[in-house]
Amino acid sequence: MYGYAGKMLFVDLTSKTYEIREITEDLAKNYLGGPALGAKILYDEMPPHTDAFDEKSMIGFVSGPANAAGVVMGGRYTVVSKSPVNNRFNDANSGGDFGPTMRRSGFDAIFVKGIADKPVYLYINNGAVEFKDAAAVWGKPTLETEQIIRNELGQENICVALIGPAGENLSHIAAVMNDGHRAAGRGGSGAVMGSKKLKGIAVYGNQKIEVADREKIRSITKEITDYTKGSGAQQFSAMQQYGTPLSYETLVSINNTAIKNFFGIPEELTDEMKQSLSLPPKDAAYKQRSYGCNACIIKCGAFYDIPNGKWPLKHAGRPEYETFGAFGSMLLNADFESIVMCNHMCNEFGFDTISAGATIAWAMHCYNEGVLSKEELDGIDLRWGNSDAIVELLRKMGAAEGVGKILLAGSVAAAEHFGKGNQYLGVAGGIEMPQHDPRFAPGLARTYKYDPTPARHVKGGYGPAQGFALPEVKYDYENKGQGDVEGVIHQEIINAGGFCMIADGNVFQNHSVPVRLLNAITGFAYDEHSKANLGVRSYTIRHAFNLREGMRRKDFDISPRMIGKPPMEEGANAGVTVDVEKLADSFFQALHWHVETAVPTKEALAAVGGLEQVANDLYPIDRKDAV
Amino acid sequence: MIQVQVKFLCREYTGEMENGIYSLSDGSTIADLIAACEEQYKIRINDAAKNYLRFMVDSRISSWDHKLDDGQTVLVMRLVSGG
Repeated sequence: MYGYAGKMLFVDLTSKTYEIREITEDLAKNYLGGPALGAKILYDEMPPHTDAFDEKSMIGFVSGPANAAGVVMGGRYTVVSKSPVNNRFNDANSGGDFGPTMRRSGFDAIFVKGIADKPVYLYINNGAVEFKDAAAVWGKPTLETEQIIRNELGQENICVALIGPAGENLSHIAAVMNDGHRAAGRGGSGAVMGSKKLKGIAVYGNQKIEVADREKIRSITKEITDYTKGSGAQQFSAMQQYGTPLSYETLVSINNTAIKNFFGIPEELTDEMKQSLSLPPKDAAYKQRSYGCNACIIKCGAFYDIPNGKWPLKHAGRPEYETFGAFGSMLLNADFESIVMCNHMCNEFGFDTISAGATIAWAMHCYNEGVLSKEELDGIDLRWGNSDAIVELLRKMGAAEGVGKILLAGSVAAAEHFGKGNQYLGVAGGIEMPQHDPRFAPGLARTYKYDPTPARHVKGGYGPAQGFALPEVKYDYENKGQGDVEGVIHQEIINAGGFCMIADGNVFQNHSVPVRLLNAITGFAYDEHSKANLGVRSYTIRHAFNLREGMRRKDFDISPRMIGKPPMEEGANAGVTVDVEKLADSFFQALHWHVETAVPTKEALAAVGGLEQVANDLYPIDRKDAV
Repeated sequence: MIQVQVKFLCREYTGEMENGIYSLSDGSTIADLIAACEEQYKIRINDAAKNYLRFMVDSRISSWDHKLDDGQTVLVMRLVSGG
């Protein structure tokens, strides 16, 4: 089969055994890879109502056909598991080289269940599987762990997906890290690895992925090159220079990025603070070089050296847009170097930067409003913008020390622990908001609240495209469902294919590019109809996992203030209350699902195809509307 | 005449255009403002780049044909997506 290594590895850590299975063409064509394939396997293999930390709980590392297939922007892989935050399906994707290297090692995906009796890591070398003792690296930060594993295996070119102390401490905001600075951050999958005493998975290989039509890939690549050197050149080169934080200053200025725990407006940042957060002069001072994920032609990452100051760093990753938001404007923190430090600490501890920053924002808001006292925060003066306090609190979280032990469980668990502060939470499904305000781009509210993995800026919908629309357009909630579904279809395919979403507009001129590339890689010949079904099937299987857990529409939630209840009184989002339920009504109607329950109709499942097991589970007897 | 405060957030498209107060004739639109800036700084923003330009006037996303009033603040930015 073209475009695949053709095999999946299933590991049981309890018995230290493994099984290798082939990927059938039907499975590949219907679910492609990434979160779609991952959700399908978890749906089939993990018993319903399994706790995220149970022995039967599974975690998967799933590539997409674009990985190692010789196509640009095809370096993303996905980690799937249950989220310990909400016990729902979780997926989070990451770049670097892990996904492509896993495929070269012989496997399109690796799924792990069971709990090891002592810390282990897996070593996959060209199809051979070894269980390795992780005693020497348990408790160690991620960068050091990677190097120790490389040294131990005597192989510099391996890639490792791993956890830091955050995952070992079962932090609900723990990421799975890889390649030093890349994170499958969201939803707490790092804690699932920690619960299994699985420190990491090291992969190495030199196997080739055969593609269906190399000549076609060449011609599409030429088209891409023409675009990035032609009409898309300015977009492309700006992204090459500054990466995702290119947008930060603009998005703060227009109240899209979070300010002061989503309660603030741009005017709360003085000109001096904005100057301090401005990227170009800092890049000029600190940037050593750019780096990119596998097959990336942008190379949006950068390494910083900060030689002096409170937090000198060498070879630290430049924070991404989300991290600048979460540790910058979200906290009214204009100390640029502290943001770089927090980013570095999150990478080393293995925290999701979005949730870590948002959790500190919650604590900071509580402190500044007198809800949490200095004593409750171990004596830390957590006033807005106090960068020393932010770094110290994050250190405590990484060390699971004092109040840090409470906060490393995330903002919702911390609010529960203290029994107060709920009014300052900004979450959907218990997971902290990313740095794009749904009051600014209201379509995001539907995505944040109702996506099977909530509070994600990397999931589909019509939100991302509408933020810059005129107010009379973007706050019109009528009949948005079809556009919402089309946005979902595109993003599901990007994620399942193993592409980077940053490619959209910056490298891929239009939405046809990734599907044409997938056709050239796999030979599956997706047309408009089958492409749409692929995207809807991917969304549906992720959603169906949660339905089988008993979730229905009434069980999805978002913090009311995040949709403008009550509305902001000032700024670009003043007076905005997002009618997220109308958006969701329209979305579910466009999918031909039951609007009241968010359950797919039997007819909708049949029309999409490849979802027979879901249909059997939802409709065990042949009766309409058995929801 | 009207005066508007302008801040440019997309140097890759607007080059040396400087933040500050710009004077325009009554009834001027955002398109007129950009044309005046192009004239003043001898810069021509090409049509492809103009497709990416977006504007916010006094905290409100606004279009090229938005009529400006005296004392308003205009942010000139590129279409961005975050990350």
